[in-house]
Order: sequence, then structure tokens, then C-alpha cells
Amino acid sequence: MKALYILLLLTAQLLTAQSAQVRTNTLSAKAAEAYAIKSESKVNEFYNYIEILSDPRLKQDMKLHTAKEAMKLFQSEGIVIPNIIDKVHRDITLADLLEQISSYKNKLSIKVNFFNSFPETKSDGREDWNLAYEVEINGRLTVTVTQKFHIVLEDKKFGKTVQKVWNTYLGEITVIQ
Amino acid sequence: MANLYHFHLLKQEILKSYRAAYPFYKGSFREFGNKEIAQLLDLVENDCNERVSEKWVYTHLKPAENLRLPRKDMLDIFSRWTGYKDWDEFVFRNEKTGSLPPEIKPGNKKNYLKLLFMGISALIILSVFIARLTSAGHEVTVCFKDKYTRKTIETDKFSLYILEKGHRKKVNVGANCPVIDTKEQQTILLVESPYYKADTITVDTGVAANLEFDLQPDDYAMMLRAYMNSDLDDWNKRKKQLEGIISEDAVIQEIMFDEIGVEFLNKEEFISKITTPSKAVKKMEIVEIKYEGNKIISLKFIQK
Repeated sequence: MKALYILLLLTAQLLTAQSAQVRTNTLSAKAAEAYAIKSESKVNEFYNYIEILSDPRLKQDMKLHTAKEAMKLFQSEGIVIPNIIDKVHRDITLADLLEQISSYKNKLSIKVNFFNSFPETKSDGREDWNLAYEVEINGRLTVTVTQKFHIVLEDKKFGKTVQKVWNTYLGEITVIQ
Repeated sequence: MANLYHFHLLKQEILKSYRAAYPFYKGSFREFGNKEIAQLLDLVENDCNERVSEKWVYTHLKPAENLRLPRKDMLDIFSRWTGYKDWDEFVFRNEKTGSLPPEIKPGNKKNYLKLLFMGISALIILSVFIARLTSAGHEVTVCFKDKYTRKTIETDKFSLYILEKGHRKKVNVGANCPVIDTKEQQTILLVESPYYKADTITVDTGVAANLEFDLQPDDYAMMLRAYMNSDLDDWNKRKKQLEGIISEDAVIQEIMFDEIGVEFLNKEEFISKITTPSKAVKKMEIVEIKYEGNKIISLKFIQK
């Protein structure tokens, strides 16, 4: 009888633990709303880094520092993206693009217009979204693109402690027109 | 002198252009706070590709009267931003029309009516004020000042509560010094701010009065705020200073509505971010800061 009681208690505890995990491993509707805003600010942050890197007045060490910050926005540092600054949009690694922009003689001015975000796939501890927006370069050239946005539940180190937190990353870019 | 007159006109044009982007703002430059200044500077930067310093806004736009004309290159930037080719064109076009701003136009009939209306309104407000003073309740105006700079602390930089029988009731603070309206003889106030140390103040509310209290700045929060709003000249030095004030175990969060955390940064990531001269950093506003010992262990910020 006692064994049966313990078994029932364990089963109940296991079920509770699983449902709690499901609850914490998915984003609430409110959180998704907040991440939609975050996705836009992250995209703006990336293009602002490109503007900063293109500034010929910026010191070399600060350029390297800024390029590192730009890389951190992406999940994979080796990602290949189309060079949207270039008119033919040739594919280039992110690192090469940032290096190329660092040697520009004129500072770029970039604006992100008509931003939209759409959740695409959802799994335990991960959401992949599609972003669509227009990039306006120097008030003349405009490029419409889609971009992946990933929201991932990961272990993160804060000094001696490790916490599970949602991290966000920018992903591949596809030029639409 | 004529140029100062034109600069006055330009200031009105700048305010008009700012209001086109932020139509909810009804104040003048005098009431411009950090938020409005940052918004204006971003608008100018986006449209003209020029970064104007906060100090310039404080020196030339915020004062109601200007004793000297700002530098020509700055006048050119703002003239461009308001739709003119440069300052020379602004002066020329406004000389051509010869139009004076409505509020300083002499002998304007409309102005007499406006003045009459303002006079009557002032009388009504004064009557209401006197009536309220003589009623049972008392209004006590409380202003908070920075202990070191002696400047009045903007109301969006602190929260004020009335402590009553173990409960705290939030006081709605407007644009100016908060007013405590109470029938009690004594009121205990709690003031909290991410930039100043929390303080409890006992106020004698038995009679109407204007009171001033000093708040002790939170040095680390002020330091971070200064870093967020300035250009980084010696970023390696600043990096070292930040390393000294933030705990190794610190959790730094960007939060949004309902305190939803959308970005979690550890010490290294936060220092790296804050020492980059990006727009995102300039838009950061600290909303909560916690210490363990004498180091920051938790920090929450929003994007203004």
C-alpha cells in the first residue's frame, strides 16, 4: 500500500514537473509581443553597427570592437549573407562584410522601413521567426529583404551561476527585390 | 540683434519639426527633458547625418532668451533640418516675408484678445487656488534636488509614495514638483529612483508650503547614465572603470512592458555593449539597480 502511494506521488510529481517545464519552455503571448519589438530593435542595432563601422573618423580599435558586437547579434559567426550595400547583392561572410565596410571612405546612413515579424516554427525552448523589412541606404538605394530571427532558451553563465534564459539571434538574410 | 531674432524664429521652427514627429509633446523647449532631447538629437542625426551634443541643446535651445548666436555650422544643421538650405537661406527667406512670430507681433488685435483671455484664466486659476488654500486640505509642494549639483530632479527620474499604516500609495507626479494634497498633519513620503538613493521623509503637511529635499545620487548609476549618453573617447579606460563597479555574477536585463525580460547580459557582454557608440546604448535608461556589497549585482534597463 505504502509502495503504491509513493509510486502515485512520484507520478504526480513527474507530471507536475513536466507541465512546469512546458510552461517555462514556451513564450507567452505577451512575451511574444515583446520579442516582436525586440526583433525590430535588434535589426536596427545591426544596421547601426554598419553605419558606425563605415565612419572613416572612427579609430581602428573601436571599429574592431564594434564589429565584434555586430557578430554577437548572429547565432553563427560564419554566416553567409547577401551584401545589401553592394548593388548586385553578392553573397559574403558576415566577417568579410564587416571588414569591407570598415574601410569605407564615406559614412553610410541606413534606415529600416516597413518592418514586420511573423512567428514561423515553434518547438520546445525555441522559436524561429521570419522578419521582412526594407533597408534604405543613403536615402537612395532601397532593398527589400527577409531575415530569420531565432529565440532560443539557453543556459547562460553569469559569473559563478548558470541560468536558463531566452537569447535572441539574427539569422540568414534573403533579398526579395 | 537681428540675427538673434532669426535664431528665435529658428527655435520655433525646430520645435514645430519636433512636434511633427512627436505630436503628443505640448511643452516648449524649457520643459525639454532628457527623453525629448535624445529624441530631437536622433531625428537630426537620422535626417542630416550630423550628431549634435546634448550640451548644445541645453546651452542654446532650452533658455527662453539667448544672449549670443550659436556657431554658424550648428545654425546650418538646424536650418537644413527645418527645410532650408542653410542658415543664410533661413535668414533671407524670413527677412523677405518680414513676418514676426505671432506672440511678439506688436499691436496685434488677436494678441489683445489672447492677453485678455489669459488674464481671465489666470484670475480663475488664482481664485481656485485661494479657495483650495482656505479649505480644510493643505497642498504641500515637494521639490527634490540633486545634493551635489543642486539642480531640481526631473519627475520622470523618481517615484514618490505616501506611507500609510504599512501601505504605500503612489503619488502621481506631473511635469513639475509633486503636490501632496492631504488633511493629515504629518505625511511620510518614500522616494525611490534608479539614479538616487531611496529616502524616507516626514513632511509637516499641517500648513501649505513649498518644500525642498536633497537626494543623494547613486554614483554608479550616474556613471552608467553618463556613459550611455556620451561619446566614447577613452573607451578602454571606461571599460576598466565599469569592471570595477559591476559584480562578476551580475545579471543585466533589458525589460519591456510588464517587466518582460527580452535580453539577458552578463557582466562582460554588458560592458562590451555599453562601450560601443551605438544608438541603442544612447537610448538605454536604467529603471532598477541592485547592489551586493558595493558592486552592481542586478540592473534592469529599457530602451527610451
